[in-house]
Amino acid sequence: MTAPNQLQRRLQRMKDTGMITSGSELKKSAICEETLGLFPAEEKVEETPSGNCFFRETVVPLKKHHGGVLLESSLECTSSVLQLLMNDPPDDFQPYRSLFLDLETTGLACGTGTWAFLMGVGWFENGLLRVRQYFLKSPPEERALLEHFTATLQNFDNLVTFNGKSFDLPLVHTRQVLKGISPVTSPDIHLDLFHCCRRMWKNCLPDCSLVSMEKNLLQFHRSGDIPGEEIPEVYFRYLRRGETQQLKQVFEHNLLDIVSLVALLGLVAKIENIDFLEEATPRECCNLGILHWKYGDISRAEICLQQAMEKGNREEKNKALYSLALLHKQMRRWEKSASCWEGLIHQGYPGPAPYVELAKIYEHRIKNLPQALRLTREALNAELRRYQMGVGGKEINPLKHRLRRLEAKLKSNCPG
Amino acid sequence: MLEEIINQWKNDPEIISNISRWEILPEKKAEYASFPEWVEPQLKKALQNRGIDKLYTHQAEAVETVYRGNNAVVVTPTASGKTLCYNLPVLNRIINEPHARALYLFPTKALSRDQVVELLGLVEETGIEVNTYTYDGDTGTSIRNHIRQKGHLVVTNPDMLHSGILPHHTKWMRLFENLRYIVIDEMHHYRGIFGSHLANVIRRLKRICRFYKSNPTFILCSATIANPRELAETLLEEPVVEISQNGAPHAQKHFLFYNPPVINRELGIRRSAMLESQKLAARLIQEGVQTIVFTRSRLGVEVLLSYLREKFKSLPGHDSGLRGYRGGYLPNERRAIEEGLRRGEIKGVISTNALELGIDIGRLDACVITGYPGSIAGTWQQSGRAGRRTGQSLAVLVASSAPLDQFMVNHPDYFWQNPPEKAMVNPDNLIILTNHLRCAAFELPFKEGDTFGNAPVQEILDFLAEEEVLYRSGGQYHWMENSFPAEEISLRSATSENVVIVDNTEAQPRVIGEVDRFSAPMLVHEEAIYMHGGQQYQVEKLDLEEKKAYVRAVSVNYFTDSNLSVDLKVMEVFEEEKEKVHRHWGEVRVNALVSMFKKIKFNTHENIGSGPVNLPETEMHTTAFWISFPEGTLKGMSRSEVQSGLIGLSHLASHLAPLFLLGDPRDLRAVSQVKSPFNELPTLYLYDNYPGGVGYSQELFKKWKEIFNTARQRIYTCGCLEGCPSCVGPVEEVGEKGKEHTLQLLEVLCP
Repeated sequence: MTAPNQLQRRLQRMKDTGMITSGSELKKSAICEETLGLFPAEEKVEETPSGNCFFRETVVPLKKHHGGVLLESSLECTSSVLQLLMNDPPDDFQPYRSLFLDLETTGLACGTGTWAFLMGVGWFENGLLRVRQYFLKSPPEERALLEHFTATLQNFDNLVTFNGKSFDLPLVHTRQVLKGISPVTSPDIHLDLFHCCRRMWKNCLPDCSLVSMEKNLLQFHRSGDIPGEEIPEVYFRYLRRGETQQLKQVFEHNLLDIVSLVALLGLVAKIENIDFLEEATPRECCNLGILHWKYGDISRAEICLQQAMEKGNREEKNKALYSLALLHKQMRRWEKSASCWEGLIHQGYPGPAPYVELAKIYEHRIKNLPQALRLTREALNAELRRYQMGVGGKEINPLKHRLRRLEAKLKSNCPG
Repeated sequence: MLEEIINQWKNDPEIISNISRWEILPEKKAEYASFPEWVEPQLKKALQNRGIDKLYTHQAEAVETVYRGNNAVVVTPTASGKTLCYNLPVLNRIINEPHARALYLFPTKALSRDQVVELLGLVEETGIEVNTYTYDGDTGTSIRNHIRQKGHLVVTNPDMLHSGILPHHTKWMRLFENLRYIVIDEMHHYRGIFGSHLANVIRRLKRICRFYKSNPTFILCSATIANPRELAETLLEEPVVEISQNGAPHAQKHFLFYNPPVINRELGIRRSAMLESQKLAARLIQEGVQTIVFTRSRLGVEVLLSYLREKFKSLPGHDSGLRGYRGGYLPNERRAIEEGLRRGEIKGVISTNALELGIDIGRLDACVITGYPGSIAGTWQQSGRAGRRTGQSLAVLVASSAPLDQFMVNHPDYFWQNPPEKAMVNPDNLIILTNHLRCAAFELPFKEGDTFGNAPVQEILDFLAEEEVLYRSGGQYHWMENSFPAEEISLRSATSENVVIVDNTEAQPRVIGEVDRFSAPMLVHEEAIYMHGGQQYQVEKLDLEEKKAYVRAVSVNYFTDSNLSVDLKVMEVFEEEKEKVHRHWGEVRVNALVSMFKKIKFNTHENIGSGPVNLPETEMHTTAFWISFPEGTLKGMSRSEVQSGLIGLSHLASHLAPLFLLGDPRDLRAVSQVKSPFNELPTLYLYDNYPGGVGYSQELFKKWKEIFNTARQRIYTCGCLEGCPSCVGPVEEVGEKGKEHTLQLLEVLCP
């Protein structure tokens, strides 16, 4: 070995003072095998014009339960359910024309330096779920892998992911641009279950991660799973030192992600069913009611909100009743709306809103100004009470203004 | 009002006796050229509608150069219409080629905001569709994708380019594929550490342009410096045409050099520049002359602001028109001050060089510069803040007792006859280069044999692969780490860490400012007085691990100043010359420790107390120039006499070096050793005060003779007896006969 030159010595000193951060200190070993040898019967190598492409293929029977959900039920998902959950729902949705996608990457940072080293895709085939996991055995194989993957992508109409809109798909796009693969095509319809499920389950879960949904919605508990933040390091150890022990866990982790996507779709498929409503928690009933209402199905919305009120505790009841009151207001059903607001006041709803709404009805619909005035005073008192307890207070001035306006109006209506 | 004051000062013996030079810059007539023939009719019409029916000569030369596909650097003073030099060719190109894109880079967010307003006006006038957007940290996420796809003109800053655009270049494909022009305004700002970073950001930018097969032309603009072309060519690593014949007009301007009166001749003590500035500024502001007062330091801003506020307390109405402005103020606070200046609501502003940049505050009547700004270029920049289109304007330079100030005020010809200083950058600063190579590898893998500007990259790539940051495979170096390297690197300092200042006075703590990690032990040690907005705060706790300093508002009659002790060790010699004296430059390790602080009383500046500082020492590797006196050269001098001479020499050299290098005296520091561990000889070291160095010491290795000659001249012209802050340093530091001993050493250096 030759003596280090000046630049190399300086680099070493910079490193010693911690001014240049570095990776770990271990030595590397070469990787040149065609396959990994981790899943003997499932590993495949296919030739492409850009070289060999390696993947693992497994099948999962659809008659199987994933937690509490039968995987097969995902085939029942229709566009009418998706209308409740998506901003841009497709006119037609065929589950068996869908590709489920999940990536394992070298980091969570978006940007050109992050690699997708394991690209898992799954689709339905003869009553089975077929999962193919493209694995980057070494960086020079990326182009072949991406070409094969891109071709697979083009066979499907729909893409199903979890947070794929902001993470997986932009990352795939970046890798394609870097490898000069164009035109970049992906299915027109992208069902991002993260966004869909958040609409339906937002305040029902501790957080909206996939793991949390598995646990709380699918009743599926992973055991022996590798934590996501350790995954990049496993891949680096494989690349640099040929370590494959933990790689197996990463493949299994990714496989579970794909199966969970299918199961989540199965769960989503059922939210329109009446049995779902019967078993649903009060919060689920309330969220579903609001989704139906937004979509314009008022009678279903009412049923769901009623369910929520019947099942819920005081807070949940109030929330459903509040939504119902707004729904009636929007439908211009003043009496029904008024009785909801009254119900809320009766239930001890904190805050001025029910008084204000009721006052508006008395002022403009029933034309009972003294009652409207009395209610507005109540509203102000409620807001002042909240303010004294250290919450709210923003409505104090608008309410005072309202009160003055009503007083003036009352005066001019009955002079003397 | 201003004319009246000028006439009064001319006849006031108390003023005129302190003025070493009264220069009147005459009015200058404009020189015009017609529009080149290739300018599209609608663009010409739009310009005519905005009152521009011909070009200044320098504008015509610039647009012609750029049109022919050559890189250009335009060097002209403030308000000479330099923005047209790039807006014209860029808009002309977009009219001809609707897909064309341009990238505008400004050193700060504030500057880009002003430029976009002006640009939008011109674009609207042409009636063509040119999508112009600012893309920075404040840009909303919803509009970002639209900008990436549709923005013709993307205005941003180097920091955003570095961490927000380049690492995501695949999202910016449309821009990079069609990038025709890159505009770099305020180029003179890219010197030292910031410039060294920018040179590497440009290396990365050009690498990405090559990937998308575009080859943009660069248009740079700069305030006057000695070496605009050299700086531009160092930043771009490409040939650049220099355009510096200014065709714009300007009105008459009075430029005064003011030396505060001596109050103790033997000790060489003059009245403080701060107090003299206060006197002059108070007079101007009181008469309603809109005035900007520049001070050298953030502390200076606060001290002067509180002096002036105190003075105006008795004069109702004046106080509200007075503001401070400096780095460390939060952005919205600064915006409000800029706006107040433009509207004329603020009559006086006390600022650091933060306002020297092209931030639009309109034109003021007068400018008082407290202490020589450290460079001819900076002095021109600051004085350029005063000067309306008609009538008269005034700039006063008030010298401090620092050697450089005294040299300038006593040799005004030097200022008026010499070109401004050289701006130095060191794109191959090893720390900066290595960090940007990490970013570059993140953006696109390196192939073996790939270049990165003129930098030596092979060894560094191998080093990074060995360190397991990169992974080498198939003849390429791939980024293989779970991190986002650009996030860890700040372009404004060699290291990325800042200490935020948290005010604990109220129940709800709030962040009021920040200081960089290296200055923190000096400025916000426990018990230090930190000043912000004229309010004093005492530091209660400095938590370096959490990077927070907790302060509480106080009202005391002093400010604090800390003592720094420095130890230096040579790590590697890059070059040496052993003639009569031995000269070297190379890499050194500097250990700095703040050991104590002093409390200094307002107004009298007397020392009224001190205290210890218990903070760990900081370590830095940087480059240094050093000069040693071999045995026999200092015959007859005792060890203590040599020491006294070396102290005098380091005081002079570190203060006078900025005459030759565009930088701040703080950028270069001096240390002396009577018996250096390096070669056992009496040695003077001058080191770059930045990790990795920014190129000063290498330049000093070449220019050492000029510096020491100037030092000798300074000693001869100084009127003190044995030493003072204006030459070799105060007698308490340099010892009795310090002047004589320093001269003895200088005789050896330049016989």
